[in-house]
Amino acid sequence: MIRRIIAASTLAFSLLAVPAAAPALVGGVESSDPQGLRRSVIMVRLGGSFCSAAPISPTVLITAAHCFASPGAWMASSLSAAFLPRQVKVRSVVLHPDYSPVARFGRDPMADLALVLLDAPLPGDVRTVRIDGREAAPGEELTVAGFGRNEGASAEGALVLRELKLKVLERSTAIHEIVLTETGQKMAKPGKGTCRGDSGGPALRMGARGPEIVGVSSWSRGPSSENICGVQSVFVDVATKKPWIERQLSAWGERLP
Amino acid sequence: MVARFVVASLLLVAPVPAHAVFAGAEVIATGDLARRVVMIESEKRLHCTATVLTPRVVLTTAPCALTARRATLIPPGGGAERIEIARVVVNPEWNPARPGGWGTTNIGLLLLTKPLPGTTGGLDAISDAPLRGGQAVWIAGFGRTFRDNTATAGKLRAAEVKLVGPLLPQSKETQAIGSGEASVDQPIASACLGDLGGGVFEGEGAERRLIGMLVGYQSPKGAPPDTCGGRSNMIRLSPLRGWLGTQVQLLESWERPK
Repeated sequence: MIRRIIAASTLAFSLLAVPAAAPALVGGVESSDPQGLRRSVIMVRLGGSFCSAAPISPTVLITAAHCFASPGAWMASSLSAAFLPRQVKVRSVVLHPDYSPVARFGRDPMADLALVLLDAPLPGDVRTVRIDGREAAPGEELTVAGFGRNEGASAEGALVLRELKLKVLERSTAIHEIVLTETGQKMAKPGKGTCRGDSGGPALRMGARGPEIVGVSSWSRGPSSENICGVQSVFVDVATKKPWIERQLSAWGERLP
Repeated sequence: MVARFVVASLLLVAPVPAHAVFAGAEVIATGDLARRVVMIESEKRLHCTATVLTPRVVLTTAPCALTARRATLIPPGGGAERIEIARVVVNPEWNPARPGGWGTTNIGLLLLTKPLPGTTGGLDAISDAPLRGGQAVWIAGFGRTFRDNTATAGKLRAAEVKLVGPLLPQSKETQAIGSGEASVDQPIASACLGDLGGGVFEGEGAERRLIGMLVGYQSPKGAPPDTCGGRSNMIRLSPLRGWLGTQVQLLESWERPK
Protein backbone atom coordinates (compact mmCIF):
# COMPACT_ATOMS: atom_id res chain seq x y z
CA MET A 1 0.00 0.00 0.00
CA ILE A 2 1.95 2.96 -1.27
CA ARG A 3 1.18 6.12 0.59
CA ARG A 4 3.57 8.95 -0.04
CA ILE A 5 7.07 9.61 -1.20
CA ILE A 6 9.21 11.14 1.53
CA ALA A 7 12.36 11.84 -0.40
CA ALA A 8 13.66 11.00 -3.81
CA SER A 9 15.97 8.30 -2.54
CA THR A 10 13.98 6.89 0.37
CA LEU A 11 10.41 5.72 0.14
CA ALA A 12 8.07 5.27 3.07
CA PHE A 13 5.33 2.67 3.21
CA SER A 14 2.69 1.40 5.52
CA LEU A 15 2.89 -2.30 6.09
CA LEU A 16 -0.64 -3.58 5.79
CA ALA A 17 -0.69 -6.61 3.54
CA VAL A 18 -3.21 -6.49 0.75
CA PRO A 19 -3.78 -9.34 -1.68
CA ALA A 20 -0.93 -8.26 -3.96
CA ALA A 21 2.77 -9.04 -4.03
CA ALA A 22 4.18 -8.54 -0.56
CA PRO A 23 7.62 -9.52 0.68
CA ALA A 24 8.24 -10.86 4.17
CA LEU A 25 10.08 -9.48 7.17
CA VAL A 26 13.38 -8.76 5.43
CA GLY A 27 16.21 -10.89 6.79
CA GLY A 28 14.00 -12.54 9.39
CA VAL A 29 14.14 -16.19 10.35
CA GLU A 30 11.07 -18.38 10.47
CA SER A 31 9.90 -18.90 14.06
CA SER A 32 10.18 -22.60 14.86
CA ASP A 33 10.40 -22.85 18.66
CA PRO A 34 7.03 -24.07 19.99
CA GLN A 35 7.81 -22.18 23.22
CA GLY A 36 8.87 -19.03 21.37
CA LEU A 37 7.20 -16.05 19.75
CA ARG A 38 4.40 -18.06 18.11
CA ARG A 39 2.79 -17.75 21.55
CA SER A 40 2.86 -13.93 21.47
CA VAL A 41 2.19 -12.86 17.88
CA ILE A 42 -1.31 -13.10 16.37
CA MET A 43 -2.58 -12.54 12.84
CA VAL A 44 -5.70 -10.45 12.22
CA ARG A 45 -7.32 -10.86 8.80
CA LEU A 46 -10.25 -9.97 6.62
CA GLY A 47 -10.35 -11.82 3.30
CA GLY A 48 -6.93 -11.45 1.69
CA SER A 49 -5.83 -8.52 3.86
CA PHE A 50 -3.98 -9.18 7.07
CA CYS A 51 -1.88 -7.60 9.77
CA SER A 52 0.14 -8.81 12.74
CA ALA A 53 -0.81 -8.12 16.36
CA ALA A 54 0.17 -8.94 19.94
CA PRO A 55 -2.02 -10.08 22.86
CA ILE A 56 -2.00 -7.71 25.85
CA SER A 57 -4.64 -9.78 27.65
CA PRO A 58 -6.31 -13.13 26.81
CA THR A 59 -9.07 -11.25 24.92
CA VAL A 60 -7.39 -8.02 23.73
CA LEU A 61 -4.82 -7.51 20.97
CA ILE A 62 -2.79 -4.42 20.15
CA THR A 63 -2.12 -3.65 16.48
CA ALA A 64 -2.00 -0.82 13.93
CA ALA A 65 -5.01 1.41 13.12
CA HIS A 66 -4.31 1.54 9.37
CA CYS A 67 -5.23 -2.16 9.13
CA PHE A 68 -8.94 -1.35 9.57
CA ALA A 69 -10.11 0.85 6.68
CA SER A 70 -12.34 -2.02 5.54
CA PRO A 71 -15.21 -3.14 7.75
CA GLY A 72 -16.17 -6.81 7.86
CA ALA A 73 -15.98 -10.08 9.76
CA TRP A 74 -12.42 -9.73 11.05
CA MET A 75 -10.78 -12.86 12.48
CA ALA A 76 -7.74 -13.40 14.71
CA SER A 77 -5.47 -16.45 14.31
CA SER A 78 -3.05 -17.67 16.95
CA LEU A 79 -0.51 -20.38 16.21
CA SER A 80 -0.65 -23.78 17.86
CA ALA A 81 2.54 -25.58 18.95
CA ALA A 82 2.37 -27.26 15.52
CA PHE A 83 2.19 -23.77 13.96
CA LEU A 84 -1.36 -24.28 12.70
CA PRO A 85 -3.90 -21.45 12.92
CA ARG A 86 -6.58 -21.33 15.60
CA GLN A 87 -9.22 -18.76 14.79
CA VAL A 88 -11.22 -16.48 17.06
CA LYS A 89 -13.81 -13.94 15.88
CA VAL A 90 -13.16 -10.27 16.45
CA ARG A 91 -15.95 -8.55 18.38
CA SER A 92 -14.81 -4.92 18.40
CA VAL A 93 -12.02 -2.75 17.09
CA VAL A 94 -11.23 0.71 18.39
CA LEU A 95 -8.83 3.06 16.63
CA HIS A 96 -6.71 5.55 18.57
CA PRO A 97 -8.63 8.86 18.49
CA ASP A 98 -5.59 10.73 17.16
CA TYR A 99 -4.99 8.27 14.31
CA SER A 100 -4.68 10.22 11.07
CA PRO A 101 -4.53 8.31 7.78
CA VAL A 102 -3.29 11.47 6.02
CA ALA A 103 -0.41 12.19 8.43
CA ARG A 104 2.97 12.66 6.74
CA PHE A 105 5.40 9.83 7.42
CA GLY A 106 7.99 10.83 10.00
CA ARG A 107 6.70 14.40 10.31
CA ASP A 108 3.21 14.34 11.81
CA PRO A 109 2.01 12.25 14.76
CA MET A 110 0.12 9.31 13.24
CA ALA A 111 -1.05 7.48 16.40
CA ASP A 112 -1.33 4.39 14.21
CA LEU A 113 -2.67 2.19 16.99
CA ALA A 114 -5.76 0.00 17.44
CA LEU A 115 -7.08 -2.35 20.11
CA VAL A 116 -9.01 -5.49 19.16
CA LEU A 117 -11.50 -7.18 21.49
CA LEU A 118 -12.03 -10.88 20.74
CA ASP A 119 -15.26 -12.84 21.02
CA ALA A 120 -13.58 -15.47 23.22
CA PRO A 121 -10.26 -15.77 25.08
CA LEU A 122 -7.25 -16.97 23.11
CA PRO A 123 -6.07 -20.55 23.82
CA GLY A 124 -4.34 -21.00 27.17
CA ASP A 125 -0.85 -21.46 25.72
CA VAL A 126 -0.84 -17.91 24.31
CA ARG A 127 1.54 -15.71 26.28
CA THR A 128 0.48 -12.08 26.67
CA VAL A 129 3.02 -9.30 26.24
CA ARG A 130 3.53 -6.88 29.13
CA ILE A 131 3.28 -3.10 28.82
CA ASP A 132 5.74 -1.71 31.35
CA GLY A 133 5.92 1.81 29.97
CA ARG A 134 9.74 1.70 29.96
CA GLU A 135 10.99 3.79 27.05
CA ALA A 136 13.24 2.44 24.33
CA ALA A 137 16.87 3.55 24.59
CA PRO A 138 19.00 4.38 21.53
CA GLY A 139 21.13 1.37 20.60
CA GLU A 140 18.90 -1.03 22.54
CA GLU A 141 18.28 -4.38 20.82
CA LEU A 142 14.62 -5.37 20.32
CA THR A 143 13.02 -8.46 18.80
CA VAL A 144 10.44 -7.83 16.09
CA ALA A 145 8.09 -10.41 14.62
CA GLY A 146 5.31 -10.60 12.08
CA PHE A 147 3.44 -12.55 9.44
CA GLY A 148 4.69 -10.39 6.58
CA ARG A 149 4.36 -12.65 3.61
CA ASN A 150 2.34 -12.74 0.43
CA GLU A 151 -0.27 -15.29 1.37
CA GLY A 152 0.27 -15.37 5.10
CA ALA A 153 0.16 -19.16 5.05
CA SER A 154 2.15 -21.97 3.50
CA ALA A 155 0.59 -24.43 1.07
CA GLU A 156 -0.09 -26.70 4.03
CA GLY A 157 -2.03 -23.94 5.77
CA ALA A 158 0.59 -23.17 8.41
CA LEU A 159 0.98 -19.47 9.07
CA VAL A 160 4.51 -18.27 8.53
CA LEU A 161 5.81 -16.16 11.40
CA ARG A 162 9.23 -14.58 11.15
CA GLU A 163 11.37 -12.86 13.75
CA LEU A 164 14.38 -10.63 13.72
CA LYS A 165 16.54 -8.53 16.04
CA LEU A 166 16.84 -4.81 15.30
CA LYS A 167 18.36 -1.88 17.20
CA VAL A 168 16.87 1.45 18.20
CA LEU A 169 18.12 4.33 16.02
CA GLU A 170 15.97 6.98 17.67
CA ARG A 171 12.84 7.61 19.65
CA SER A 172 10.87 10.65 18.54
CA THR A 173 9.10 12.34 21.45
CA ALA A 174 7.36 14.72 19.01
CA ILE A 175 5.52 12.09 17.00
CA HIS A 176 5.63 9.13 19.41
CA GLU A 177 7.48 6.79 17.09
CA ILE A 178 10.55 4.57 17.47
CA VAL A 179 12.84 4.03 14.49
CA LEU A 180 14.69 0.71 14.31
CA THR A 181 17.46 -0.33 11.92
CA GLU A 182 19.63 -3.40 11.54
CA THR A 183 22.66 -1.73 13.11
CA GLY A 184 21.15 0.99 15.31
CA GLN A 185 22.91 3.46 12.98
CA LYS A 186 21.59 5.23 9.89
CA MET A 187 21.72 2.82 6.98
CA ALA A 188 23.28 3.76 3.66
CA LYS A 189 21.96 0.57 2.08
CA PRO A 190 18.88 -1.49 2.90
CA GLY A 191 19.34 -4.26 5.44
CA LYS A 192 17.03 -6.21 7.68
CA GLY A 193 13.66 -4.81 8.67
CA THR A 194 9.88 -4.96 8.74
CA CYS A 195 7.87 -5.21 5.52
CA ARG A 196 4.29 -5.57 4.27
CA GLY A 197 2.07 -7.70 6.48
CA ASP A 198 4.20 -6.93 9.52
CA SER A 199 1.97 -3.95 10.34
CA GLY A 200 0.72 -4.14 13.88
CA GLY A 201 3.38 -6.65 14.91
CA PRO A 202 5.33 -6.02 18.12
CA ALA A 203 8.84 -4.81 18.90
CA LEU A 204 9.64 -6.71 22.08
CA ARG A 205 12.13 -6.40 24.91
CA MET A 206 12.90 -10.01 25.81
CA GLY A 207 13.54 -10.58 29.49
CA ALA A 208 13.28 -13.17 32.23
CA ARG A 209 9.72 -12.03 33.02
CA GLY A 210 8.54 -12.67 29.46
CA PRO A 211 8.23 -10.39 26.45
CA GLU A 212 7.53 -6.71 27.01
CA ILE A 213 6.01 -4.70 24.13
CA VAL A 214 7.85 -1.49 23.29
CA GLY A 215 6.53 -0.71 19.81
CA VAL A 216 3.81 -1.56 17.29
CA SER A 217 4.92 -1.84 13.65
CA SER A 218 3.51 0.96 11.49
CA TRP A 219 5.54 1.77 8.39
CA SER A 220 8.92 1.32 6.73
CA ARG A 221 11.42 3.12 4.57
CA GLY A 222 13.17 1.48 1.65
CA PRO A 223 15.38 2.59 -1.22
CA SER A 224 12.92 2.34 -4.12
CA SER A 225 9.37 1.58 -5.10
CA GLU A 226 10.44 -1.99 -5.88
CA ASN A 227 12.27 -2.39 -2.60
CA ILE A 228 10.19 -0.66 0.02
CA CYS A 229 11.73 -2.11 3.15
CA GLY A 230 15.02 -2.45 5.01
CA VAL A 231 16.23 1.12 5.51
CA GLN A 232 14.11 2.00 8.56
CA SER A 233 11.45 0.06 10.48
CA VAL A 234 9.15 2.48 12.28
CA PHE A 235 7.04 1.58 15.32
CA VAL A 236 4.45 3.41 17.42
CA ASP A 237 5.97 4.19 20.86
CA VAL A 238 3.68 2.13 23.12
CA ALA A 239 4.99 3.63 26.38
CA THR A 240 3.43 7.00 25.55
CA LYS A 241 0.06 5.41 24.72
CA LYS A 242 -0.34 3.35 27.89
CA PRO A 243 -2.95 5.68 29.49
CA TRP A 244 -5.21 5.38 26.42
CA ILE A 245 -4.77 1.60 26.36
CA GLU A 246 -5.79 1.33 30.01
CA ARG A 247 -8.80 3.61 29.53
CA GLN A 248 -10.02 1.59 26.56
CA LEU A 249 -9.57 -1.73 28.34
CA SER A 250 -11.55 -0.36 31.24
CA ALA A 251 -14.36 0.72 28.87
CA TRP A 252 -14.55 -2.90 27.72
CA GLY A 253 -14.54 -4.20 31.30
CA GLU A 254 -11.04 -5.61 30.79
CA ARG A 255 -7.69 -4.91 32.43
CA LEU A 256 -4.02 -5.60 31.87
CA PRO A 257 -2.96 -8.89 33.49
CA MET B 1 -27.77 6.94 -8.27
CA VAL B 2 -29.58 4.09 -9.88
CA ALA B 3 -30.57 4.62 -13.49
CA ARG B 4 -33.36 2.30 -14.36
CA PHE B 5 -36.59 4.17 -14.62
CA VAL B 6 -38.09 7.11 -16.32
CA VAL B 7 -39.58 9.19 -13.55
CA ALA B 8 -40.79 12.54 -14.77
CA SER B 9 -40.82 14.32 -11.44
CA LEU B 10 -37.11 13.84 -11.06
CA LEU B 11 -36.43 16.28 -13.85
CA LEU B 12 -37.24 19.07 -11.44
CA VAL B 13 -33.72 18.91 -10.14
CA ALA B 14 -32.42 20.38 -13.38
CA PRO B 15 -34.49 23.41 -14.35
CA VAL B 16 -32.47 23.92 -17.53
CA PRO B 17 -32.08 21.20 -20.21
CA ALA B 18 -32.83 18.02 -18.44
CA HIS B 19 -31.01 15.41 -20.38
CA ALA B 20 -30.89 12.84 -17.62
CA VAL B 21 -34.11 10.93 -17.52
CA PHE B 22 -33.05 8.27 -15.09
CA ALA B 23 -33.97 7.76 -11.52
CA GLY B 24 -31.10 9.99 -10.55
CA ALA B 25 -30.94 13.12 -12.66
CA GLU B 26 -27.57 14.72 -13.26
CA VAL B 27 -27.20 17.98 -11.41
CA ILE B 28 -26.30 20.69 -13.90
CA ALA B 29 -26.15 24.45 -14.25
CA THR B 30 -28.01 26.03 -11.38
CA GLY B 31 -28.14 23.03 -9.12
CA ASP B 32 -27.36 24.32 -5.63
CA LEU B 33 -26.51 20.75 -4.63
CA ALA B 34 -23.31 21.04 -6.66
CA ARG B 35 -21.87 23.20 -3.87
CA ARG B 36 -23.15 21.04 -1.06
CA VAL B 37 -21.84 17.63 -2.11
CA VAL B 38 -18.27 16.76 -3.17
CA MET B 39 -16.58 13.76 -4.73
CA ILE B 40 -13.95 11.90 -2.68
CA GLU B 41 -11.00 10.07 -4.21
CA SER B 42 -8.72 7.59 -2.51
CA GLU B 43 -5.31 6.45 -3.69
CA LYS B 44 -6.90 3.58 -5.54
CA ARG B 45 -9.14 6.12 -7.30
CA LEU B 46 -12.28 4.49 -5.99
CA HIS B 47 -14.44 7.22 -4.70
CA CYS B 48 -17.28 8.01 -2.44
CA THR B 49 -19.22 11.17 -1.68
CA ALA B 50 -18.99 13.75 1.09
CA THR B 51 -21.36 16.46 2.21
CA VAL B 52 -20.26 20.01 2.98
CA LEU B 53 -20.67 21.09 6.60
CA THR B 54 -18.43 24.16 6.43
CA PRO B 55 -16.13 25.39 3.64
CA ARG B 56 -13.24 23.40 5.13
CA VAL B 57 -14.99 20.42 6.77
CA VAL B 58 -16.96 17.73 4.94
CA LEU B 59 -18.86 14.75 6.28
CA THR B 60 -18.68 11.17 5.01
CA THR B 61 -18.78 7.53 6.16
CA ALA B 62 -16.03 6.08 8.37
CA PRO B 63 -14.58 3.69 5.74
CA CYS B 64 -14.57 6.52 3.20
CA ALA B 65 -12.86 8.89 5.66
CA LEU B 66 -10.12 6.33 6.39
CA THR B 67 -9.12 6.04 2.72
CA ALA B 68 -9.91 9.57 1.46
CA ARG B 69 -7.09 11.64 -0.03
CA ARG B 70 -8.78 14.34 -2.13
CA ALA B 71 -12.13 16.12 -2.29
CA THR B 72 -13.37 17.50 -5.61
CA LEU B 73 -16.04 20.15 -5.97
CA ILE B 74 -17.59 20.26 -9.44
CA PRO B 75 -19.32 23.64 -9.55
CA PRO B 76 -22.15 24.51 -11.92
CA GLY B 77 -20.62 25.39 -15.26
CA GLY B 78 -17.57 23.16 -14.82
CA GLY B 79 -14.05 23.84 -13.55
CA ALA B 80 -13.51 21.17 -10.95
CA GLU B 81 -11.68 22.20 -7.78
CA ARG B 82 -9.61 19.39 -6.30
CA ILE B 83 -8.41 19.86 -2.71
CA GLU B 84 -6.16 17.65 -0.56
CA ILE B 85 -7.26 16.35 2.81
CA ALA B 86 -5.31 17.61 5.83
CA ARG B 87 -6.84 15.65 8.67
CA VAL B 88 -9.41 12.93 9.33
CA VAL B 89 -11.61 12.22 12.34
CA VAL B 90 -13.71 9.06 12.67
CA ASN B 91 -16.44 8.65 15.26
CA PRO B 92 -14.72 6.81 18.14
CA GLU B 93 -17.60 4.35 18.43
CA TRP B 94 -17.29 3.16 14.84
CA ASN B 95 -16.45 -0.55 14.94
CA PRO B 96 -14.88 -2.09 11.80
CA ALA B 97 -15.75 -5.56 13.12
CA ARG B 98 -19.52 -4.89 13.01
CA PRO B 99 -20.39 -3.96 9.43
CA GLY B 100 -24.10 -4.55 9.96
CA GLY B 101 -24.34 -2.63 13.19
CA TRP B 102 -22.89 0.76 12.53
CA GLY B 103 -25.96 2.81 13.26
CA THR B 104 -25.09 6.42 13.88
CA THR B 105 -21.40 5.76 14.39
CA ASN B 106 -20.55 5.18 10.72
CA ILE B 107 -19.38 8.72 10.27
CA GLY B 108 -16.17 10.63 9.72
CA LEU B 109 -15.09 14.20 9.05
CA LEU B 110 -12.45 15.45 6.64
CA LEU B 111 -10.56 18.71 7.10
CA LEU B 112 -9.52 20.15 3.73
CA THR B 113 -6.24 22.00 3.18
CA LYS B 114 -8.16 25.04 1.86
CA PRO B 115 -11.80 26.12 1.69
CA LEU B 116 -14.12 24.83 -1.02
CA PRO B 117 -14.87 27.81 -3.29
CA GLY B 118 -18.37 29.23 -3.24
CA THR B 119 -19.52 27.21 -0.25
CA THR B 120 -21.01 28.53 2.93
CA GLY B 121 -22.51 26.81 5.87
CA GLY B 122 -22.02 25.69 9.37
CA LEU B 123 -24.03 23.43 11.54
CA ASP B 124 -27.05 25.65 10.77
CA ALA B 125 -27.23 23.62 7.57
CA ILE B 126 -28.51 20.70 9.66
CA SER B 127 -32.25 20.63 10.23
CA ASP B 128 -33.69 19.79 13.65
CA ALA B 129 -37.25 19.74 12.32
CA PRO B 130 -39.20 16.57 13.07
CA LEU B 131 -39.34 14.10 10.19
CA ARG B 132 -42.37 12.13 9.10
CA GLY B 133 -42.93 8.92 7.18
CA GLY B 134 -43.71 9.59 3.51
CA GLN B 135 -41.89 12.94 3.60
CA ALA B 136 -40.16 13.79 0.30
CA VAL B 137 -36.40 14.27 0.54
CA TRP B 138 -33.54 14.67 -1.93
CA ILE B 139 -30.54 12.37 -2.03
CA ALA B 140 -27.35 13.31 -3.90
CA GLY B 141 -24.11 11.54 -4.72
CA PHE B 142 -21.31 10.89 -7.21
CA GLY B 143 -21.92 7.14 -7.47
CA ARG B 144 -22.89 4.83 -10.25
CA THR B 145 -26.25 4.52 -11.93
CA PHE B 146 -25.79 0.77 -12.13
CA ARG B 147 -23.69 -1.25 -9.78
CA ASP B 148 -21.50 -2.57 -12.60
CA ASN B 149 -21.28 0.57 -14.70
CA THR B 150 -18.15 2.48 -13.69
CA ALA B 151 -18.61 4.95 -16.56
CA THR B 152 -21.62 6.46 -14.86
CA ALA B 153 -19.68 7.40 -11.73
CA GLY B 154 -18.07 10.76 -11.06
CA LYS B 155 -21.06 12.90 -11.93
CA LEU B 156 -23.33 14.36 -9.33
CA ARG B 157 -26.85 13.01 -9.48
CA ALA B 158 -29.81 13.72 -7.27
CA ALA B 159 -33.22 12.17 -6.88
CA GLU B 160 -36.37 12.80 -4.90
CA VAL B 161 -37.38 9.90 -2.67
CA LYS B 162 -39.46 9.42 0.47
CA LEU B 163 -38.71 8.60 4.09
CA VAL B 164 -40.10 5.22 5.05
CA GLY B 165 -42.12 5.29 8.25
CA PRO B 166 -42.40 4.76 11.08
CA LEU B 167 -39.62 7.09 12.18
CA LEU B 168 -37.61 6.71 15.34
CA PRO B 169 -36.22 10.21 15.73
CA GLN B 170 -33.43 9.70 18.26
CA SER B 171 -32.71 6.11 17.34
CA LYS B 172 -29.23 4.79 16.69
CA GLU B 173 -30.69 2.69 13.89
CA THR B 174 -30.41 3.85 10.31
CA GLN B 175 -33.43 5.41 8.62
CA ALA B 176 -34.84 3.79 5.47
CA ILE B 177 -35.49 5.92 2.38
CA GLY B 178 -37.44 4.66 -0.61
CA SER B 179 -40.77 4.85 -2.33
CA GLY B 180 -42.64 5.39 0.90
CA GLU B 181 -43.92 1.82 0.73
CA ALA B 182 -42.75 -0.82 3.17
CA SER B 183 -41.52 -3.10 0.38
CA VAL B 184 -39.67 -2.21 -2.85
CA ASP B 185 -40.73 -4.59 -5.63
CA GLN B 186 -39.56 -2.59 -8.67
CA PRO B 187 -36.35 -0.54 -8.95
CA ILE B 188 -36.62 2.98 -7.58
CA ALA B 189 -34.12 5.80 -7.27
CA SER B 190 -31.56 4.79 -4.69
CA ALA B 191 -28.00 5.25 -3.59
CA CYS B 192 -25.47 2.98 -5.33
CA LEU B 193 -21.74 2.25 -5.21
CA GLY B 194 -19.93 5.56 -4.62
CA ASP B 195 -22.89 7.48 -3.20
CA LEU B 196 -22.28 6.73 0.48
CA GLY B 197 -21.47 9.90 2.38
CA GLY B 198 -23.87 11.86 0.17
CA GLY B 199 -26.36 14.20 1.80
CA VAL B 200 -30.07 13.73 2.36
CA PHE B 201 -31.89 17.07 2.17
CA GLU B 202 -35.30 18.52 2.85
CA GLY B 203 -36.64 21.65 1.12
CA GLU B 204 -35.53 23.29 -2.11
CA GLY B 205 -32.86 25.78 -3.22
CA ALA B 206 -31.82 28.26 -0.54
CA GLU B 207 -34.23 26.65 1.92
CA ARG B 208 -32.65 23.26 1.47
CA ARG B 209 -31.37 21.79 4.74
CA LEU B 210 -29.49 18.65 5.62
CA ILE B 211 -31.29 15.91 7.55
CA GLY B 212 -29.05 12.89 7.00
CA MET B 213 -26.14 11.16 5.29
CA LEU B 214 -26.34 8.07 3.06
CA VAL B 215 -24.76 4.98 4.68
CA GLY B 216 -26.26 2.08 2.73
CA TYR B 217 -28.41 0.80 -0.09
CA GLN B 218 -30.28 -2.37 -0.98
CA SER B 219 -31.78 -4.10 -4.02
CA PRO B 220 -35.47 -4.43 -4.85
CA LYS B 221 -37.23 -7.49 -3.48
CA GLY B 222 -36.06 -10.60 -5.36
CA ALA B 223 -33.19 -8.84 -7.20
CA PRO B 224 -29.59 -9.99 -6.66
CA PRO B 225 -27.90 -8.31 -3.70
CA ASP B 226 -25.98 -5.12 -4.38
CA THR B 227 -27.69 -4.29 -7.66
CA CYS B 228 -28.99 -1.04 -6.13
CA GLY B 229 -32.50 0.28 -6.74
CA GLY B 230 -34.11 -0.75 -3.46
CA ARG B 231 -34.23 1.23 -0.26
CA SER B 232 -31.39 3.51 0.72
CA ASN B 233 -30.35 4.06 4.32
CA MET B 234 -29.28 7.23 6.05
CA ILE B 235 -28.16 8.22 9.49
CA ARG B 236 -29.86 11.24 11.01
CA LEU B 237 -27.58 14.18 11.69
CA SER B 238 -29.64 16.11 14.19
CA PRO B 239 -28.88 13.69 17.08
CA LEU B 240 -25.16 13.96 16.22
CA ARG B 241 -25.09 17.75 16.35
CA GLY B 242 -23.11 17.82 19.61
CA TRP B 243 -20.32 15.56 18.39
CA LEU B 244 -20.24 17.25 15.00
CA GLY B 245 -20.01 20.72 16.56
CA THR B 246 -17.10 19.79 18.82
CA GLN B 247 -15.18 18.06 16.05
CA VAL B 248 -15.73 20.82 13.46
CA GLN B 249 -14.39 23.36 15.94
CA LEU B 250 -11.35 21.20 16.76
CA LEU B 251 -10.62 20.56 13.09
CA GLU B 252 -10.94 24.18 12.03
CA SER B 253 -8.50 25.27 14.74
CA TRP B 254 -6.03 22.47 13.94
CA GLU B 255 -2.66 23.41 12.53
CA ARG B 256 -0.35 21.01 10.79
CA PRO B 257 2.89 20.58 12.78
CA LYS B 258 5.83 22.42 11.20
